[in-house]
Amino acid sequence: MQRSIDLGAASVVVRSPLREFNAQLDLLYRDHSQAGDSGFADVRVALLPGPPWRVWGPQVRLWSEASCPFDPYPLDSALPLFEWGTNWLLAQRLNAHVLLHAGVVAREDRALILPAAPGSGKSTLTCALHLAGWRFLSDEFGVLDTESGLLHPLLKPAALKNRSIDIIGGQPGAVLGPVFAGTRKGDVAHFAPDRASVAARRRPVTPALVVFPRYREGAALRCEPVRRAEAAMRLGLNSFNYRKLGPVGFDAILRLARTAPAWEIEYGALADALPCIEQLFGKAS
Amino acid sequence: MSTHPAADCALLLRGLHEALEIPEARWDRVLRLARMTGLHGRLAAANADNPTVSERVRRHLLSATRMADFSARMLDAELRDVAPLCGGDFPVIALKGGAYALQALGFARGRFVSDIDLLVPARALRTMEARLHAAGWESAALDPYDERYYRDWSHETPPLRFPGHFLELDLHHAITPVTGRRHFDPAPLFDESLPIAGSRFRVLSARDQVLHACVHCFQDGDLALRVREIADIDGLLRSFAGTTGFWPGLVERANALGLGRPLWYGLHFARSWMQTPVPQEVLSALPGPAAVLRRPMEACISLALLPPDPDRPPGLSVRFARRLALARYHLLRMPLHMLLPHLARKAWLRTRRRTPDGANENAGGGP
Amino acid sequence: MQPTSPLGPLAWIERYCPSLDGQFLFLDPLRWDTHLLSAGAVIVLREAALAIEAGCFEAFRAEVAANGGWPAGLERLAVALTALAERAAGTGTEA
Repeated sequence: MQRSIDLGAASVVVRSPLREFNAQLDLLYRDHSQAGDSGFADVRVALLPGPPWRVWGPQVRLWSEASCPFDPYPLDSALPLFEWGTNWLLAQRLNAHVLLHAGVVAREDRALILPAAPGSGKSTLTCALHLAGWRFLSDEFGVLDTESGLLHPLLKPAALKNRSIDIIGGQPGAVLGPVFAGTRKGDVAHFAPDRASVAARRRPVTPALVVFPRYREGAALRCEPVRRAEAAMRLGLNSFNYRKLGPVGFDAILRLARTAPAWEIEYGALADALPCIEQLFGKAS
Repeated sequence: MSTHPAADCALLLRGLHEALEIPEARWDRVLRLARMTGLHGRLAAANADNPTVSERVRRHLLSATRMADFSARMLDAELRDVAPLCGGDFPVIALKGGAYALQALGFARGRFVSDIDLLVPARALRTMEARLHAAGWESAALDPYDERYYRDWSHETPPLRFPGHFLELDLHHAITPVTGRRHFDPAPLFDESLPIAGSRFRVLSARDQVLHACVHCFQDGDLALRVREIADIDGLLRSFAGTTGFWPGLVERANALGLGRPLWYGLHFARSWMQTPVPQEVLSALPGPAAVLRRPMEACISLALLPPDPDRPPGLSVRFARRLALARYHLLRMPLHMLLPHLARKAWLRTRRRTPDGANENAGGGP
Repeated sequence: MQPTSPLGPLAWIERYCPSLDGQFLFLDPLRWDTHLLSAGAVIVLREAALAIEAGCFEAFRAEVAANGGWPAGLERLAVALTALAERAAGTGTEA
């Protein structure tokens, strides 16, 4: 079974005979998936069951360009393999843009960028903001157009891990796929952005605010401005390809740092972080 | 809707020289083949100003160009770091990508480099290695067997890397494996090598560069997906063939060094796949394979070298052809009594390899 | 992507050493890493660029050594600028 998915900044065609996996894609990509081929896709993958002679622990492999770039996963974990695998493949091909490692949400086409290292809670925060009414663009990739300075949506489900699954899953309106226990990254579940965000996936946004978030259990809320040159350095560090783009990346990040004020926040509870962010965004507008 | 992979491949190879005017769906296939063969940077260089490409295709080409530019920048930086260690007491010859960049050859634009290859006289190998170590380069950690393989049998040292740098450095003292059938004393290569203005590195003569590319393509390494090597041979020939006396000189040299067969293959496939202008009398003057073997050899090499259909796992025939080609590579490299224990060990090591999916490790990189 | 005519050391600093609120960013032309520099460090770098363009970088290096040495890591960046002088002059090994 083959389907095309238009993510906004990129498109993916995925082929797989696995029924459960397809059902999960139907759920998580319900508003932007179409049966068949689209003629042109940025990434084409096939999720195929592993070698037939494996007697114990059947596997699934991700095929791209006639090879398997990754280790196989257990057969029932095609979805996390697909999600992480396509992220990696997209990052290889989208180097016409600067790819920030960041969550991106927006209000009225003005973007909040949340750059952060893994484990800082940015996916959780991105989803919480979305559930609080912000448009969802991505929980992983800030696709920064080097020509226009705008950010492009890349509508993939957010990957929530461990405790975040319950925190976000328990919120009204949250749509999550199944929980995959004990993956390389712990327990994982995928959060589907809402219909309006998917419908807006071709509408780029202007950067308005950068917030470097850090979740620390039990921490009191701390909120401090970041000097522009340091913000530029940190944006560059929290990016997949900044250095590889040399002068092009330099100019793009500089422009971003000059356009959008930057703050860092440390928080122990979403209930603290969200109002703080709303306030900062109000000031930046 | 879907075209034959061989036809797409021919289109890709054409696209290395000229702007392609094809529908977007065809570009989809050509781009994938380009990535599979590591030729996407060169494809992008040739199609940078192509007004007929869609926005989406343009993005892919631009992405490839950016990554190739980074590759070229890292190559330049690494050569500059190594240059001060070339004291003039012995020649240091840059091979392959490094040489193409130093000579500013046209086809080097968009070419990806994963390592730097340097050729030094055998007597100077330890010295050069010691200088690199003293300056901060580190050898890949090897166990005693691999260490011995490299030093006694191979023509390379274990790869070196400066911590934090992107490229590896490979030191060679010959261009053919010491234990292999085609081994020859590399002294003539040094005798004919050329200086590069403003650089401490030398390069092989034009004809030796062509021969090295042919040897490398058909003797060295996994034969699968070596289309890129043929593209390099094509690039070299187009750069050099205009010089007076080039062709006779090339044939003479090949025969003198016992490299006639690899040269025949290189020229044959370059002409066949990329329409490289190779005069027929040149091929006739070389020891090609016996006529009766020609067809099956062509089929075998074509399947092993041409990328398979990108939409499907490689078929059985491709895998078989690759295995055959790989077997030939090993046979040429090491005599059987060394080869079998060596392969057994390699197979054992393979069962414990395979890096986990480091999702963002090399994101955005070329091959 | 690269400027069509290569930038010399001073032109590079003009273009790729912008100031933001009193701090400076600098893009290493050789290795493409980005550095955060103080105003003082940029002054030294500019002087180095002038010396390079005047052809007396070695003398400048001696001068710096005699006056307390380079700020940490800056010498490497100054040396990177010398590569630009080669490129702009049309000599050198850049492809």
